[in-house]
Amino acid sequence: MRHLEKPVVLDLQRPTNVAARIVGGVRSYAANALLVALLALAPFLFESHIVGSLTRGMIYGMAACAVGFIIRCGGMVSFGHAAYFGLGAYSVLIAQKIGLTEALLIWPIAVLVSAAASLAIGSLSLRTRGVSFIMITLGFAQMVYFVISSVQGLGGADGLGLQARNQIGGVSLESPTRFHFVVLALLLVVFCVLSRVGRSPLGMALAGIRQNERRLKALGYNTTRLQLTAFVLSAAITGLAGALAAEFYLYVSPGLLHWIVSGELLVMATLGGVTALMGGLFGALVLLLAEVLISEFTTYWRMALGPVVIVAVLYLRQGLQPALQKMLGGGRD
Amino acid sequence: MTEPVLQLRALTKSYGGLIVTDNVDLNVLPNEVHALIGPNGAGKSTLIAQIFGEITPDKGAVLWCGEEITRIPVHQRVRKGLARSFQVTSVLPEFTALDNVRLATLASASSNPSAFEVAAANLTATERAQTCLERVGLATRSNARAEALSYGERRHLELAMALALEPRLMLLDEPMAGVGSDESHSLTAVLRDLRQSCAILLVEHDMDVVFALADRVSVLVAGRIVASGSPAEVHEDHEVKRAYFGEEDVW
Repeated sequence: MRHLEKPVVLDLQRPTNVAARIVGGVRSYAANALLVALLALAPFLFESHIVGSLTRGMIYGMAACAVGFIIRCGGMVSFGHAAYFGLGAYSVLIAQKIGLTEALLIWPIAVLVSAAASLAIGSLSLRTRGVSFIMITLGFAQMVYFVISSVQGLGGADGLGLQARNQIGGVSLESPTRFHFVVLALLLVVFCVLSRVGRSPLGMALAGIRQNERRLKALGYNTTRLQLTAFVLSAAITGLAGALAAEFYLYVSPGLLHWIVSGELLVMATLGGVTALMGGLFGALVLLLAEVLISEFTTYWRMALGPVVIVAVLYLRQGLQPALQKMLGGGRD
Repeated sequence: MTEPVLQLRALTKSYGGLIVTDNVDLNVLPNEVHALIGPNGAGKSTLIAQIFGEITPDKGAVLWCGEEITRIPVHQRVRKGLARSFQVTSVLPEFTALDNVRLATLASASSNPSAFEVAAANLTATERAQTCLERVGLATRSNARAEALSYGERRHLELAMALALEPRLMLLDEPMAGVGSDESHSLTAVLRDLRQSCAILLVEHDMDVVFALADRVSVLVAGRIVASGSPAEVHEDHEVKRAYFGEEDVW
């Protein structure tokens, strides 16, 4: 057999490397691990309104990670993810209106609704690339916004409240702490899925498409179909986040579908770093933290948003997560 | 007589009033190196792009082993055994050399890349990729990022990627463009090795390379094939000399 240049897999099989790998693994994931630990311990450390902010941060972070995922894998900048976020939320509202109260049933429905919408929108949008793609995703999202905000049965432009938070497996989610942990658990599942897909042949091909789509076609990849797959996966995750947002606010309004949400998700993803799996979560939490801190002093907290983003883009380049990672002395994930 | 892998029948393409491909008939036999030469702007790259499916011809047909493929998308042509290299180096800069080639071996392993397998754990694909790198002499550079490779190395890498697809016909668009004479020798050696495994349609300006490798030469001038034959015949052809090289013999 020919001598191989030691692909990583061969190293894994060597027991002597296990200890080194664990140490290396902890170091390279230190920033992520610290953040997850903080989120897990938050209900025991902080007052309830801060825990609530963190729950909300995780929900938006989940959607932002999905937005970042298709930039990293597939090179698609979507300016229309509010549609999937909002559709997820409205699915919860409609499910409750027809009498469902089981989250294990309702949330998958929300995921499916968003995925189905993204399959239709994505297959049309992916006839374009670049700036046209950005604009066409925005256009479709605005269509969804106007259609839903004109349906009086769904509360029209004002939206409607939910009667109560749905139950999960018969267990009530009314307790904010319990809901916080459910959101955290789902977030970790999302990270596992995205990380796994990122390292798969599909993920590799998608990362290749971002770098040079023509080359990937020349290797025999049906690039549009692969991008559509990633787009639908991303929208499905965003739909789940939207469903969780509905449960969190206990209120669903067209505001969740508004293009500003698409913009905020993009800002969160970029701020946290699109090269990093958990970049969107970092971005979302920092943004919400800024909101909480600045709104102590002024209601015009959004004014600070611009400078924060400009500074981040100028000085962090790759985003927050990679910068923190570097500070903690680990490699890139 | 053996059936050609590739046949072009009266292929025509124009942009407005400019005819870039004018009634081109051409074929490539299995295990043959067919060189396509011609002055700048003759339409060589446009012709390659039409064969590969990146540009759709206005008229005429592209036949693959007798089957018409004029209008099928690029990725389906690659699945049939057509591969190409690019005139301007086209590798994935952020990936290692090995990953660049591994993308090719993974693609040829399955038409639908799996979402839940770990790419690095596919030992067959990895090993095949490594073999391809060895064949072009890049084995020691397999863990270097493509953007860190020298220009000549990237040209080699590009050939390794085409090779990894195990094609029946390779379209090579100026594989020697911009490389120094040392690299040019090693690339010629690689091409000589490649011709053992597949047919090659070679677009090249370097006449030494064309004469060293080609079984047949076709000359494209202003979108038309003006001559076709063995290298010696084409060399002697008066029309070629007049249209392509001027009256004087520059060879």
